[in-house]
Amino acid sequence: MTDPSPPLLDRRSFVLASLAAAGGVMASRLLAQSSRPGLVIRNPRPLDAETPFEALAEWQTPNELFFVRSHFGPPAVFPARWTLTVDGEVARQTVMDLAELRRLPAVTVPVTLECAGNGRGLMALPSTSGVQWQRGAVSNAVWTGTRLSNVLERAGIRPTAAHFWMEAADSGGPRVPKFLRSIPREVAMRDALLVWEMNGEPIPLLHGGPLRLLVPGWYGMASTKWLTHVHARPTESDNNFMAKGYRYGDGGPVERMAVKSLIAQPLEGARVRAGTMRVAGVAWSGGGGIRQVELSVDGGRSWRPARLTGRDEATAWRTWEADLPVSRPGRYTVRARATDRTGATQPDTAATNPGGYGNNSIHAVSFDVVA
Amino acid sequence: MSSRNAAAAAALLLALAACDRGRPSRAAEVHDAPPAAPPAALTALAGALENRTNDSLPPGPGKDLLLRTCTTCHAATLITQQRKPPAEWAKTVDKMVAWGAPLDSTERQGLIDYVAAIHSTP
Repeated sequence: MTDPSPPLLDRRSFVLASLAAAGGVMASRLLAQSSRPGLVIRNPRPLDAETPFEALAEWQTPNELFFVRSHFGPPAVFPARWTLTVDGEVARQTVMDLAELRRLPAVTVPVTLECAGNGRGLMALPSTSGVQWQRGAVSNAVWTGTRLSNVLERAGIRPTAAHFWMEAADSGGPRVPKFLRSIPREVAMRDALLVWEMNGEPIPLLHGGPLRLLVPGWYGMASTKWLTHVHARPTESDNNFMAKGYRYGDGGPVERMAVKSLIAQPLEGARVRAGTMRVAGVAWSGGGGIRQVELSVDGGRSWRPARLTGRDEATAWRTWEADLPVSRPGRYTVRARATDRTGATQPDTAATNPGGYGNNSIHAVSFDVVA
Repeated sequence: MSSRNAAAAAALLLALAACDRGRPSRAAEVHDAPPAAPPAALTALAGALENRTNDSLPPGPGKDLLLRTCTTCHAATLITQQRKPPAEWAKTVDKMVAWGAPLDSTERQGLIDYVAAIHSTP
């Protein structure tokens, strides 16, 4: 019996859909046998992979389709021995294991995470560094854990504790700086979460299990995976990935997510019948929620509102949809523009910066209408 | 690397389980299984992509240098997707050397020239 399956992959569960070189950027994606698309790999080791566009139409991203960003490979972990230590500017150094953390008041919160470099590969930059993300380094999951403030209060943080340095179990070589970010006290006490469940399951290894930090509203680099230590300090972290990395061109820190929307339906290049065209997608912001999403089919000269649908949560993206009349055959381009509750609106083209951060340019999708 | 880590985690789990035998543990109160490892098909696809990138690198001494120096920590795919002039690649290479990349000072310029040339032809 012949087996036509591609090498290396288990044909029973997956087939290799494409290994394409496009514009010098190699990308790979999995396609389930049911034709359900899988993650799009941008860098195989350590793994960086995007959520497929088709999954961006859903409010809740399944764990296996949630984008993956790795500075280093995941550490070996043993949850029964995992501890979180809070030290530094505290009254009592506090060490808690997962069982003790689970006895604290629990919260279940939807949180959208976006990589700060999402869209970097689409920015017109003379020099490109790092992973050349397209649009899919963003996902939304429902997380369960406890507020970081519950742990910090137990440790008795002193007034001098102005910043909290988040140390994790992953690392590079012996001379590679650890990935050690810090967040200010106000954010730590008001917003930050310690989580151990993702969409109702223990957090998978690639997503920071058994314990990670979440900083809702901030780009993903703040949400430290594999968290082991919280150091209370008078100053912010001087780590490489704070002092040098994650800075805009003017030196300002990359923190809150800029308002942004994506069109998940139709897909680029789709062919649809004349009549009414359903356009749908998601919109999010680090500014506390989405006020409106508008669509344009005339190059941005006029805009019409889309319907905001589904759950309205300050920490999660919002789904939206609209039905566009497309009576005449031909090529159409639809643009989506989101405005958040602070009044910030997406620009046609985001300002560039050397690191390629915060690309919230308006998304345009072209499709063909046939008779 | 992921599968290696998963294997290491499994070995650690077995070893620690053996140590704990007969001793009451709070582990029963928590999800004490290791977090779900990456799906095998994802790991396989990542490996295939990494091999494909390596195979597609332009031949020459620079290729051997890149594979020896850079891929200890990350796939060559991270390099081939970046486009930078030689002066920017020099900064990157020097940063990686400071972080422990095993590159001799006599090899530095050869690596910079090689990675800068990957995208220099249309």
